[in-house]
Amino acid sequence: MVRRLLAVSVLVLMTASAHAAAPSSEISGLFLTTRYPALTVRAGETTTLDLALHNYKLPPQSLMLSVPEVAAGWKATILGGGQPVGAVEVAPNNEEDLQLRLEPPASAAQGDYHFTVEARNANYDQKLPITVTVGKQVPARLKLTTDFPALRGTSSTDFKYKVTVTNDSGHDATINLAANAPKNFQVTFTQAYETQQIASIPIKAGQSKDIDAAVALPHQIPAGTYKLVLHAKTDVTGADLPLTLTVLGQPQLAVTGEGGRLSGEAYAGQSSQLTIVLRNDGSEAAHDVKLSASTPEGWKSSFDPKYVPQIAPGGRQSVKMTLTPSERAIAGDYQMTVTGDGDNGLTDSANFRITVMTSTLWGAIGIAIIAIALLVVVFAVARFGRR
Amino acid sequence: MPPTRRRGGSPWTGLGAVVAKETADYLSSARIYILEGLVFLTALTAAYMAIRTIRATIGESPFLFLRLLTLSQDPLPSFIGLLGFLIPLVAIALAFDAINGEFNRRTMSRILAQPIYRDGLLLGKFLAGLLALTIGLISLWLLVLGLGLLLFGVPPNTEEALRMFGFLVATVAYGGVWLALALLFSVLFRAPATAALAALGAWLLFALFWSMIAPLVAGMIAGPPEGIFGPRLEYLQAMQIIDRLSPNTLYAEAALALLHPATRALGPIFISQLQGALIGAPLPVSQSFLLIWPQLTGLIAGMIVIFAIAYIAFQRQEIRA
Repeated sequence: MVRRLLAVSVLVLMTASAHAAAPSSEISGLFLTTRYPALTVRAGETTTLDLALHNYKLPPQSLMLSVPEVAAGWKATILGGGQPVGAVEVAPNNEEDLQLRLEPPASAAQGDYHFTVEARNANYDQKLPITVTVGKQVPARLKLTTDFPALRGTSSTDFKYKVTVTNDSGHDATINLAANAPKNFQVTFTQAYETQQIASIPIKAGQSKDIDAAVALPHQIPAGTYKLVLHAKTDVTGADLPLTLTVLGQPQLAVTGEGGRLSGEAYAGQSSQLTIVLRNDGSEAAHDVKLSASTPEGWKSSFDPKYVPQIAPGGRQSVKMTLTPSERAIAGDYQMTVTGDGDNGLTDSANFRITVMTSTLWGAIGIAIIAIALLVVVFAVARFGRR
Repeated sequence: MPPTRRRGGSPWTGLGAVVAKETADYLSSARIYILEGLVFLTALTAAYMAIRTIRATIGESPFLFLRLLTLSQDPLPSFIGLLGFLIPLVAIALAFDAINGEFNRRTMSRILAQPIYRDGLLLGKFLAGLLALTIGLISLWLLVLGLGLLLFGVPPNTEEALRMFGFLVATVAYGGVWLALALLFSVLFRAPATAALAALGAWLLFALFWSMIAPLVAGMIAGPPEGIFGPRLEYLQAMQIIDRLSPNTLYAEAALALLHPATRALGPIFISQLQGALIGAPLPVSQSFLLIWPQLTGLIAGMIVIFAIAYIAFQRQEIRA
């Protein structure tokens, strides 16, 4: 693992400490610095240190870079702009950022290892001793916490856990988020008060962030208590947070026609049958479902059965509706609404389009009128005809 | 001649010969060329203008072909408006001298000297007129249909075709009424000019003045049109009955209900009947036919009754002039 330390120039003065407090405008010369000249790394871990070469009030200086002292078996490389470099030029009152990459041998044992970085030209010779200790490090630790680990609701509730992720290790870390949930549960993570879904989140050392874990339930889920576990993971460590989720059963009523058909035909003044289907799409039985219809004025309607005591979850019940349009209904389409009401405010309604037909009686009367007219002709022929 | 005398033979004797001869005469006469030319020109122009409007404004309608017949484009009235106006003229022109013309040409006794009854002669002349009218109307109907096919590029659906066919039947029946009326006048009046004037007078009465006369007569029969609570039903019903005595009203209502599928009723309706009704939803074609059935049968029955009157009048006439 390559660990970068942010470059902040700290003067390592060869001169007396009194000079360190002096304002930088009064210092002059060339300085090779690093932020942490002595640090601890884990065994086998490649370390990258940030170096800085400062030039105060000197003409541009070109310096050769080298690492004259390297601990046995280690490999030291000076990088500038991401590439190995052998020399650097520093403009007046400027600084150049460099990096020292230290690759330990696989067998590096615990202990102190000494390195010296040198920047040199004809006039100046800057040496920077560095001590790397291979040994125990502050163990990386993550913490996942929530105030409300057990949520409760129906299958249509949006379950959202507020989770705090804390990075207790000594390094900044990018933390991957995952969840172990029952089949078909969908867990999504978002940063608190944001909408974008995230898969990982960077957290600085010692800091914490709030995230939301939203759980989408499958549509047809039986009532019960479900367990899920949230995972936060880095490459070296992880944390788990067990959660529980209680789904309460809920009936859901749907009123529709047979085969989804929401239309029917009826003759004015004559009763006709219509099949209404009551469906329970929910996860618990619906009780005491009563049907009612709001029809145009003068229409009669009745249901058989009038009242359905129970519909099992996923079940359906057909109800015969007898509909009698008004005697005076005119031919064409009318709309009526059939409403089913269950217990606990459970309700659904559907609009049906009823095509009213008028009886063919008048057609027969029309034919009769024509027949009478023809009879008149026949009579006239018989009385006056064939002259 | 004692009325109890038994009459022998079939009244249909010679009917076929009369129909064939009269139809041939009608179809080859200059009169029908002029009339049909007039009707074709105006009706086709109306249909063409309607098509242009439809193509420019209406993208999709389930009843494109019906709109073609009902859409009116200034300054021309719609296709059905023109037909309702012109068909009576054609029918009157075909039949106003059917019988009295024979007297004036002194050919009546010659025809009746043949083995042809008066029954056959009158019915033959009427059927020949109806046949000529029907031929003209069918060709006009097909022309408009073809024009629509050509310019819309889509065929009419079954429902449209049925409605248009019903409209054709209603138009023929309407023409038949006027044909029978003109025939009646040609029997009653010996001078063709008088018969033509009488028939044209009736046409003017029904086409122009009936809408003014009907409210007057209804007011006399049923009282004032407005009561304390708004329009009075008695007045509306009386006016509708009087209005429907006119063949023009019957034809206009039949055409409206057939060609505007959203038409659900042809008389006054109560608000309560409209409650919950989906306005603008088209009626099934069978229901539209049921709706106009009284109008259609009224036209056909009227045609038969007027013919019967003409028949009785003709039979009782002295023809040995």
